[in-house]
Amino acid sequence: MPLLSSLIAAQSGLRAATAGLSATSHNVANASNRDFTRRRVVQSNADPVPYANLWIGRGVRTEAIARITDTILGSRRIAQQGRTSESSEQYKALSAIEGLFEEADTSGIREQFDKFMNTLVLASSDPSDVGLRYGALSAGEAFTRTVRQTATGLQEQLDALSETVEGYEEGINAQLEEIAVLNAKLQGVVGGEMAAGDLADRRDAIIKDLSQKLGTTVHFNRDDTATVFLGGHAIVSGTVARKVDIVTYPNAQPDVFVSAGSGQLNVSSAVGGEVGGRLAARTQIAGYLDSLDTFVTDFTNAFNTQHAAGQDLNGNAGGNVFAFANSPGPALSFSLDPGIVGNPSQLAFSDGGGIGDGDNLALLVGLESSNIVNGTQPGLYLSRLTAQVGRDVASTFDAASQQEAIMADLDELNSQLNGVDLDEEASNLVQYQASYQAAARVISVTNGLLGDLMSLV
Amino acid sequence: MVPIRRTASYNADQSVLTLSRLKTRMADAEERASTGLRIQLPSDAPEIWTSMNRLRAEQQDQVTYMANADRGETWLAASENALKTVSDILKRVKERAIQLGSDTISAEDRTNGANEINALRQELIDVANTQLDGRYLFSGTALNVAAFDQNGVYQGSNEIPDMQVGRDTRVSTGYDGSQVFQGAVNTFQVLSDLSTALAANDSTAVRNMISTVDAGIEQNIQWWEENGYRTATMDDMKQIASNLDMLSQNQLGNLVNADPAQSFTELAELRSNYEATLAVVGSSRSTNLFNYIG
Repeated sequence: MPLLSSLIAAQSGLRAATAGLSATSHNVANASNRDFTRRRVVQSNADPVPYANLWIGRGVRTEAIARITDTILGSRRIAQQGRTSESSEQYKALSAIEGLFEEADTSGIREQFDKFMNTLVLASSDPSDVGLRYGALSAGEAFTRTVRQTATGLQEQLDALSETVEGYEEGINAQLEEIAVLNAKLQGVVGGEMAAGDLADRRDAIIKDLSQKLGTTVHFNRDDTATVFLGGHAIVSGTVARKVDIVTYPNAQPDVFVSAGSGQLNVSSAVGGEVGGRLAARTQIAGYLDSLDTFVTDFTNAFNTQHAAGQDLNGNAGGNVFAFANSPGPALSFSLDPGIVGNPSQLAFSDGGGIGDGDNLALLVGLESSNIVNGTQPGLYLSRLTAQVGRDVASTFDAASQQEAIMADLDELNSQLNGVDLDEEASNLVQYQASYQAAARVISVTNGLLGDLMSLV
Repeated sequence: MVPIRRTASYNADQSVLTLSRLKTRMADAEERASTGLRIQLPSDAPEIWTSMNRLRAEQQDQVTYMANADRGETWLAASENALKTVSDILKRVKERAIQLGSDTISAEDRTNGANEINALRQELIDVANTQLDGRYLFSGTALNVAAFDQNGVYQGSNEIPDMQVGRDTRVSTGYDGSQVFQGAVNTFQVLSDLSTALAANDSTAVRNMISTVDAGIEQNIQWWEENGYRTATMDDMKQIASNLDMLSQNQLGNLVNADPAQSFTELAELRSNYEATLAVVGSSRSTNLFNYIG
């Protein structure tokens, strides 16, 4: 009986070492796989059996090939992934439009505005000079063109953000379905099985990717399923996945809905991740376009009103110099009035004192230092708008850097706890190899003893 | 305490992250070194962007004021020439009045003198209608209208054209001809009266006119001085604009320009760091216990 027990014990040792070698090789093969969590063989003593007055050990029992994971850390990483990608995406979307306003070595809206106002100051040297009047119209055209180009760039970015946000919907719903399917598979599987670990890795990778897109959070349940939340609403619970609907509108902020029974819940304000970052950036960019619209509306009204108070070179009352249309929008359509284009003599610089009279021109120039745009001087308004864009880009960059640093810390911690350390695996490999060789030797020796015993019979 | 385990993927991520950060900083430093600007975008320094805009606008303003002052000086120089010619004409009139007021002068000489004074009066009207680039200097803001008709009747405007040569400074560049030629002394009328006295061979009246001609000369001198004052103001404003332009440029430079020595030193340092990091990453890649397993 003890010799047979030795064979059984050695055999269990071979099995345990084989399982260890399998786990090690699996770990080594996945050493560079960021979504992989390392495996460890869980062993325990096999139940002993009585023999005479003794209890004879029956070797080792291989309980499981366990997945080394920390669910709290896993939940935190997934939530942080959403915050990181949200701030990063917001920064990318804002920095893409920053150059539209102004760069240090190029001419932006403010500079073009100053140039236009300076051509008016220059015209004061001879208000009747057609060349100077042409100069003013030319600078006015350049100024309106720069505003239009900036507004067009902003509108294109708004449209692109809406379009790309809408493009997420299909992928998100496919991932929600896949998580539910994997939850179903994991729910009934014994936790220690290698296949369960791989399924869980796959599911967690999808959840992390989903959080990157949508800023979801997760709770890992005791039955090995995961519940995925979006703003407090469970969008995957067990084997049930809800549907996310991203709805875009012309010239308006998209909405994100989650299906709820026969209806839908608007969860737009709770969305994070890339979608949330793009939506946040879109809100800010729409604000910049609104500010430009305010500038165009107020400045045009003030300038045209003052211009109408003067007389042109032919003694006629001044017409409109600037024009805009509410559709597609003031800044998008800002231009010189078609009536004045090519007609510099129609600039009404005088107040009736003759062609050299620049009294109305002086009042037009004076608009530069008047609080005509939303209670602010027009040039200062444009500078503040540009500085605001700069501040927003800088603050989102800081936020993105901060979130990335937190993410990197969590990744580092995850890597330390759950990742594959090749030195450790090499050490385990040597250990399992030695165990296997020793167990094989025990079988060989026991077999020899049994052979000797049999030869006596 | 949780043991620190350095995994292969973590090491790789850290290497990529470190190299990526160094490359970003190198790209920024290269841009600073190549453009000479430490601020490229508003987000580089949003807190000073408004100040930068203000300085740029200030600089553009001063350039405009200088251009206006240049143009104004041209106008005032033309007025200077015209007023000098007026002075010459009036001096000639006074000279002839003194000569022709003498009792020894014959009636025929006085008749000829009357013709000469008429010619000088016409010349004076022509000077009063002096143009520069098609604009009349003495017709106020009615630049396209001759200041006086042939009878010496003012046709222009009583408004005086001016131009902006400073933020709050405007300088007059033209003249209301009715004030210059027909102020306290109506110079055309003086010459007309003198011509009448000469034609009438009235030596006493001719002599009496000399003091009026003097008053006309004095009136012209006052406008000449006014023109000189305006020219000096223009010149002062141009100098002030030039100084402010330079000041704005310097302040702007201090805000946005990069220190070349610092930029290149920083770039060289970052390149060294990058190369050192590459060497460390390359050598650490081979350190692994698997290499020692037979």
